[in-house]
Amino acid sequence: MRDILSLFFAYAKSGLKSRFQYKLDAIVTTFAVFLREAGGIIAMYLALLKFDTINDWNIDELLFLFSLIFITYGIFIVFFMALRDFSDWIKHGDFDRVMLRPRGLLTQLVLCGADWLAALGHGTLGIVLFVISASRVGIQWNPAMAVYYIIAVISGVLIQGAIFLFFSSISFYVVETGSLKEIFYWNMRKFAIYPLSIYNRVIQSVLIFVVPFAFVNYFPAQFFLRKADMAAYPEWLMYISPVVGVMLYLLAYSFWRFSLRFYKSTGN
Amino acid sequence: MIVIKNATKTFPGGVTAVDDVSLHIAKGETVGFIGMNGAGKTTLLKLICGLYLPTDGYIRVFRENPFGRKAGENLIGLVTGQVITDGYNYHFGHGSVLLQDDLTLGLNLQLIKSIYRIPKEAYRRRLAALLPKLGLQEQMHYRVHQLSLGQRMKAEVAAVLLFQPPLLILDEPFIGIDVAARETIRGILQEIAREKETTVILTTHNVEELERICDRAILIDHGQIVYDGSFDRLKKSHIGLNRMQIMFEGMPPDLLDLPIERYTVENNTLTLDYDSSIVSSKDLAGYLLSHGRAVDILIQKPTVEDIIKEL
Repeated sequence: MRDILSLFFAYAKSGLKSRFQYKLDAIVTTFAVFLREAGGIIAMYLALLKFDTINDWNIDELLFLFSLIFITYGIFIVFFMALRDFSDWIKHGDFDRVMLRPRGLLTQLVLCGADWLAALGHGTLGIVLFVISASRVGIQWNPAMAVYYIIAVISGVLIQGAIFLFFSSISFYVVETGSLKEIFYWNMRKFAIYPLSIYNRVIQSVLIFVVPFAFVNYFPAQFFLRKADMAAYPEWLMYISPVVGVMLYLLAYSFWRFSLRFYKSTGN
Repeated sequence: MIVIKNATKTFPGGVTAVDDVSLHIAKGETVGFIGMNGAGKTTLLKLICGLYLPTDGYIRVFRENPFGRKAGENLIGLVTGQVITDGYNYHFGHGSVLLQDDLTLGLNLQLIKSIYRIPKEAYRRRLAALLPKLGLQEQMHYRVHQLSLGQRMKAEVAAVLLFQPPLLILDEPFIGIDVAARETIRGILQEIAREKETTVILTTHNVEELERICDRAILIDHGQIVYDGSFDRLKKSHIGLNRMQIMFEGMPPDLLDLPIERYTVENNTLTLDYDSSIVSSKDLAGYLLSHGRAVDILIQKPTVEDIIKEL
């Protein structure tokens, strides 16, 4: 464990030092990520002024729902950046480097990819949204809720990590996975901005069973908010986020181990 | 140390890059894999490194199957040449497996220290020995993509020697780099070869480069081994004649009794075929340049293609 931590710090140090060789660039990047994403929220906010509520969710509740996406994504890109862009790693032969080093493959990929500046942008935004919205939706915090929140965030990160671990494994068979990611991750993420209950059956099923974004933000948010639209789903769905995260990750991991045999390095 | 029995690698497209290769490399040997571009050298290396799974056959490196090897010791150090040329185009080949382009050399080496678990003291000692030897002290703060090809290859050598792998593999290490860098790296490789502690495999498509480094030469053509034996014997018995072409202003000079194999004169150009172990290129050119007014000179050494034809 200490060994892993020291490797993590070595990667973090080299990554940060390298980015801060161009200090202004680094600061602008962080800020740009923050602004770009905040812009999206402001647009949503303005649109919502017209509607007042969506399926009985008011703007603060929606922001709370939204904040979970940003917080989990901020942590996600610390650990799963290399898997997010894994097809590039294969295309450029970078995965050979990982294969030849005397460390576990996923250990290296998880520890080395961190995009700290973007993480800071997404994470800060997530925290700002969380702080503003959590105080206004009237959550009565107690230790159990705090623990639930932390576990839900970790599960959310794990779910997204697992999704990209699937895509990474697919890169062993087909080089280009960009459109898969577009359809199954980025589009689903756009859906997850709004409460699950506003969508038709098909999209709901996809968000619960296929790309389980519902467990990243909708069900955990329902645990705190208890909105009426939860009646459409079994209540226990609010509690199984961690199970979904761990199971999905284990499934993705087995698929990864299996697919590794099909890896053929590039070059030539 | 490396045992390969009847290894074959056929790619999904149907191309067989390595065809029923068997070979055995002992500890401390320095072996040159010689062959033209596309002969299958790199595929064979990747099989040894465990980056490819053989379609058929048996490969063991340190008594282990290199493919799907568990994360463990620092066994293999792989250095890859940066530019692949097919005679017409230069294009970037496989990226470095040791260094990250966007990091400075110093940060790269520190990362290697952590990844390969090099003790602090050993790291300092090795670095202090390697940097002056390779002349890289000034380059530590440069990002790797800012280095020239020669510096870059020296940086790769520094990186790989830092963790002292018992098996060192260099794929076309001399491609595209300047003469000075080449001599530095050759010097270091000769030293390693003399110590007989590390097993070294080098690939090249230019036989000359491996002279005085390799004891053993393995010639590869169309995925098969066509020669496996001493480097010296290969050179003596199979490397053909050099060819020198000199264009003169006016008539070429008289050749007297120079020990050349054959010559032709066409317009003002004299073409000589000679054996460089009997008469050196330097002596030959020296004589001709001092006895005539030469405008252009071209020396061609026998290529791998010539050697393979001869075999």
